[in-house]
Amino acid sequence: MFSYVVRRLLLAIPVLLGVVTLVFLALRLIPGDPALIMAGEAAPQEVVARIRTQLGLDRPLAVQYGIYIWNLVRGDLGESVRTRRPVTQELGFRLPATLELASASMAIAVVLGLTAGIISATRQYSILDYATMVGALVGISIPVFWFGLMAMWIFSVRLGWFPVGGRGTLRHLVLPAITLGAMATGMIARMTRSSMLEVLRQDYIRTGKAKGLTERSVNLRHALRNALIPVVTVVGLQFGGLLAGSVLTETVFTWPGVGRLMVDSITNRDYPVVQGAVLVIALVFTAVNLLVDLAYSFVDPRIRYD
Amino acid sequence: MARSRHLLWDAARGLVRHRSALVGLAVVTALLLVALFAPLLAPHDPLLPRMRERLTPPSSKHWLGQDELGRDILSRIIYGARISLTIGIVSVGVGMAVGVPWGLASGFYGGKFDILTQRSIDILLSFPSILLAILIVTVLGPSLWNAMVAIGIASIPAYTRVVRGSTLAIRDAEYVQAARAMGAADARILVRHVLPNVLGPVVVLSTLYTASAILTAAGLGFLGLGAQAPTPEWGAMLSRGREYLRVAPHVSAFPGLAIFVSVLGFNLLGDGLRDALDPRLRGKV
Amino acid sequence: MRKVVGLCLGLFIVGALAGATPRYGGTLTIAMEYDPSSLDPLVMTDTPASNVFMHVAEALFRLGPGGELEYLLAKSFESSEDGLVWTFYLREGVKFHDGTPFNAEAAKWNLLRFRDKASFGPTLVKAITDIEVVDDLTMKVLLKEPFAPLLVHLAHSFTGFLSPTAVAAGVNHPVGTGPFVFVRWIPGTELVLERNPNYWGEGPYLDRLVFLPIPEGGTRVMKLLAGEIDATTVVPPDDVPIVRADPKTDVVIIPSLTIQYVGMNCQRGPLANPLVRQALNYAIDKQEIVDFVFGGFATVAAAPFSPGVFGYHAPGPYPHDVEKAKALLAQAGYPNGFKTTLRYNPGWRTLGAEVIQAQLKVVGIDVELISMEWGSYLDFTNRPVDRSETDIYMLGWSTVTGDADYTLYSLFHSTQFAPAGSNRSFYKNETVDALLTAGRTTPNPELREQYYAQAIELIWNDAPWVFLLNPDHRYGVRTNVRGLVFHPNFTIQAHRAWLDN
Repeated sequence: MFSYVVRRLLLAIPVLLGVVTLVFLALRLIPGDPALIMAGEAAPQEVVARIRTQLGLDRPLAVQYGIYIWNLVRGDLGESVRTRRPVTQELGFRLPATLELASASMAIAVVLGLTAGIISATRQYSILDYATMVGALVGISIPVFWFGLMAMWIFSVRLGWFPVGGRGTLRHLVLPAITLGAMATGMIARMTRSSMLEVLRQDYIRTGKAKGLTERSVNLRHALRNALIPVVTVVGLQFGGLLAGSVLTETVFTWPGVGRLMVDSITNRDYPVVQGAVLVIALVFTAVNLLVDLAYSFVDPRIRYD
Repeated sequence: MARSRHLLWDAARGLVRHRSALVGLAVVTALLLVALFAPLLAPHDPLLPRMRERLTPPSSKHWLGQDELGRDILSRIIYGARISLTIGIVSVGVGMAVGVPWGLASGFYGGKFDILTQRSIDILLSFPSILLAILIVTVLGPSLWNAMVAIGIASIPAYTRVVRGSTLAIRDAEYVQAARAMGAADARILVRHVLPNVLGPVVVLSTLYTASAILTAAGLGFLGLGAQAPTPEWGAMLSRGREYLRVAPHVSAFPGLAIFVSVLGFNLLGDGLRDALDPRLRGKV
Repeated sequence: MRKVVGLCLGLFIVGALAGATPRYGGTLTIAMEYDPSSLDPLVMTDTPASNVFMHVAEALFRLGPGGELEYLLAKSFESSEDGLVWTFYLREGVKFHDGTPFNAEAAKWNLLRFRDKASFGPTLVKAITDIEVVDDLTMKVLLKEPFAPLLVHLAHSFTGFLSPTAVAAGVNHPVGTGPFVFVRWIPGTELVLERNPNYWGEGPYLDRLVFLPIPEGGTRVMKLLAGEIDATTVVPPDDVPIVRADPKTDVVIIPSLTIQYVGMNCQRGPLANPLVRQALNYAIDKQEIVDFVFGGFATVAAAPFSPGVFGYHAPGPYPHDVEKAKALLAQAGYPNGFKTTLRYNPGWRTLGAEVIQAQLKVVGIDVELISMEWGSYLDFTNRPVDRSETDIYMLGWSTVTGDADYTLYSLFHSTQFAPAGSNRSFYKNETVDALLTAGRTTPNPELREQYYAQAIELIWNDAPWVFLLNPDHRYGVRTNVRGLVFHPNFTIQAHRAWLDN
């Protein structure tokens, strides 16, 4: 077990290095001079040149890369081109908001998705099953930003039940969390349903029923536990989806998170911040998947030596 | 040849049995027809501004109302179908063109190349796909074409992984081994024996990825990283309409509905195809 | 008081006429489009920064109601005959928020540091060669050549003074002498200031001043209607009726110091021909853009900058005349029009660009729209003339100092070709160059006005731009807010604001 964990962790290192390099290269290829943006429209050339030197943008690419990796190892993500604050600090302001939103969405998705999936599977081919599955499909197919916008129009603009965006109280969280969680809910519901159906067909479940256990107890105690295994993977994968969706959801609801920061920073050509935001999202995503893999191997030892 | 006839047959039979998949097929077909005959169907010029009638709600003359420049929203949505379909086709094409050969080669030859492939896929999959697409569009500059390419690139790892897996499964099959023993060239084995076997998953993946490509492109359009004005791309239309949500909600409502229905159509069709062709894919794609 | 600036625009003070007695206390929350990029005067470039910074730190002067110079930390000043030595007498008994006394040493240190290190240093105070401290409250500012706009530049809020002790100690927020003290700033969320109990002048009524960054116009409006905020910048034009309809909210419309223009590359393709550029001026229906893109809250431009700025002279506007445009195009050798590109950055310009595209199509000019986000856009239009691929582009410019020099010199003088300056149309006319140089080195205001009028006539005729419009500022405000000042230079001043019940 221990060696598996170590091996899995070691495997994550080249992946992370690849991510880091990819992000570095991508952002160095972008047209647009950050020094110019920083200096502002009215700034004379001499100011622009001075800022370029300060940022090290006049150095060869390889040197910039070396410095970048070395700083990264020391936990230094550089300085925002726009605000001149450390990127770690900028992300520090925003990460809690994103994690709050993603966790709330995940909680909603897991609760709703599991319930819907179980109900659907245990009443296969009923009206309820069809309704749930149509609902799940809608969740998967609906564009988050449109869903968010329409929810905002109905519940905030027309009915005035919720604030019009921004972060603060629990009421601020409701609409963005539901919006962001829609797709994950659908995914989890579908996965739970198909996984449950598969398990319900297994011999030991039939045996259980034959031995006189109530249907309810068979479903919940035995079937669900086994059906949950693949669901865990979907939850892990969906967390990444949530982080990605947060870019759009945060834009719709003016939620001050990492996704919104990233979009704004792209507009401002704030390389270091975009770099930091992408890295953080990729890191969280990788970490969650790692955890899921590990959790999975505890539950089902067979997959360890895949 | 025999295999692909099988594939078509399986697909057709599966679809007929699947009522929801038929609905999907109908939506997709309708979308295709609308895109094809857009100039005949559109009641107005999708690019013609009528400033004095801007933001007018739906009327008998303009069924879905007029946008912030007074252009006919229905006509823009009809022309937008062309764009959405192009997005789907191009980005799926890019993903397939790179991902399928890569996965085939990786699965078939194995070894160091395969390990390298797996690691590269791991890296690419560490980015949620819209993030990867955003990153690529940021590098290439915002345009519809770049968005399509970016979405295509972002879907490469999925193709590679699925094809690699299917290839691995078939590589050691008896008839492949036999062909090898008889001295058939690798290319011939790949094309004749391996490719037909991975076709099923690829078709399913492509249908579902068309849905996700349309969704992602609309997302990029929404963030201003996709199609540029005055192109009637649905995501961009929706994004522009956001500013008028309080005074003219129809401007953002209808393009969103169009995206939703198309994506739903492709998803339904993809689900049906998957069940018909390769139930093992459930949960994988 | 000598009137230095010709600012005769309506600055607006809400509730100024209401006779009620001011009430102390309360929090005023103002929404802005963006967070300040920074509150460090060395880095600051934007209006949000200016809005916050001017409440915390003070400069020697400020531009007051009607655009005359008001004394802040300067009590009086005199200048030598040749205009090269300026003596400033500073206000006594003023302390920074950390207790450090404000004096000539502090002022000298601030100004020289600003000149040498700030992004805006070269724009605003490059003319200063040195500063001599005469005594604790007197300093002499030395110039290498006469610089007429010196005083208005010293009224720019970015030149506000910071406590040298705090800066030396590395305090990363502004510590000034202003009526409000910095409390905290969570970027993307809120920025909080608190009243300065030891303010040297008439202190604020409010306990707290909070700034919220809300990029989406609709969200700002909805929050205003819901009472979640007290005031907001930039109400989208289509929302103005909604905000006005609610008895608890109102829209304040004031003319701005901004011109929105469509720049044309005077050195490239068909647009190098002045006749073609004039044709575009006739072909574009500016009133339609005013009416439908700005909801009527703008004026068609009649000069290269907005009315009320010192040196204003209006040869225009160019009327909308399709026939005339076609005739000019034919005369220039393009009877069937031509193909060209128009670059812009998203925002209202998307709508504007689409309207312009449609209007130019009428005279046969086929325009390809290319949207670029702000960074790439600046970069693209900033390429040197020999590598420039700019055809038509859209930008705006605010004459924040209220003096013609600030706009004309930077945008039309041939030494200011991008990337050295902001002449992104690569407009060159030697007579104009001479007039603009004379304008900034001549102390005599009447002469300066004459020079600028002549220059403007030439510029207008050469038409390096399509002179589009002067937008009005559209602020939203709750009706119980009193004494809040909306200044034409785009700042909101809460110094004497208070909240009625």
